[in-house]
Amino acid sequence: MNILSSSMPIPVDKLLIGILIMAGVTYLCRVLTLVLVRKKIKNRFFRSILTYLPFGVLSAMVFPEIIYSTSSGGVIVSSAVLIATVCGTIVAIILSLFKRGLFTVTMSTTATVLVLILILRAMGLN
Amino acid sequence: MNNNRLTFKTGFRDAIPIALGYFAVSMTFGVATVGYGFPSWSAILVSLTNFTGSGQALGVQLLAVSTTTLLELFVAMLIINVRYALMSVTVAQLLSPKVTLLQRFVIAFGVTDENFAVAVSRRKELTFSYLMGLEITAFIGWIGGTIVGALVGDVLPEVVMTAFGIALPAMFVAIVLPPCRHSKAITVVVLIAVAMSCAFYYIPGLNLLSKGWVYVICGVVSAIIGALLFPVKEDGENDGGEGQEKTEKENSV
Repeated sequence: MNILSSSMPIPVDKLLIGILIMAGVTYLCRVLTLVLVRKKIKNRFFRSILTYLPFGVLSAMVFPEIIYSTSSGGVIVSSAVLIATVCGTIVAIILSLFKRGLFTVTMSTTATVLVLILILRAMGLN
Repeated sequence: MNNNRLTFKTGFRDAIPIALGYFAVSMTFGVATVGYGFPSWSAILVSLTNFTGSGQALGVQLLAVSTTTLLELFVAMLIINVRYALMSVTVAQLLSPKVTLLQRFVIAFGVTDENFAVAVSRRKELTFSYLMGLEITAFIGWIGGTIVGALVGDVLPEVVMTAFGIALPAMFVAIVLPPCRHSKAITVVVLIAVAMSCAFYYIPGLNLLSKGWVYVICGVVSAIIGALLFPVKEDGENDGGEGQEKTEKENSV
């Protein structure tokens, strides 16, 4: 990744067009279906799909990636961070199953990871 | 009106964990983008106009490579963002009938993974004010983090930033898992999606497929299986949980 920073600076016009493309595509993906699908979908099968879709998409985004969420670029280099993250994930799962709120789950998980990394490093683990 | 004010407040409250998580993530984005050799203003401009974590990170990485063509950038952005089209359909179904067309154009800008997840987990009719409370608060966190990251650099110790990496995924866990306690259908959908996602992550060959497609494929396939096994009830109740028996006839449009 550091090789990139030593390359020559990006021309401003290419940068601006690039940002425009990024913003345009992102917005288009979000706006099209929100504006075009104006009626309530009545078909039971499609309504069922839409009911379950959020859970499917979000679960796929979280697992297994949550394990790599604390490693930059998804490459695990520190065993202390890995152990702390696995423990944090378990904390998140348990608290969620006991229906704690978003804020409690998020903060407890983050705190668990932070404290464990500090403890493990203090114990000499890399 | 009074009701609307309350709803904006609810949105604001719901967005506080998102905004905190966003601050940490977008700060990393700001630091990394400047580290790539981009001017600070461009990192802030990207966050102001895109408002998406994974897409921004990918786009900037591609732009940093001088050989990347704009067509490549376009296709990559399309692939990583296509899941938003699915999320927007779901949001569209939950919108209050009072929401105008113009308001839909405004709401669309803030359909991020996290905003979507929190709004949908409310399981209520979504008003414009609620969504604005949610999206504006989250956006402030997003922009604030980018500005700090791009201009000041890492203000937090490395270990704190590392730990914050788990904040947003943890929030997703807190959204996806609680309904599994009372709904067998959602449990099945979640397990299928996780199994598929792991397969796409670890199995050689399958793991070459880009993330954007993986999310869409896992989401759609698991939802279709869920819909076939556990069709939701006719009255539009969004539960889909206990009702396994298919008593009602298929409702044709």
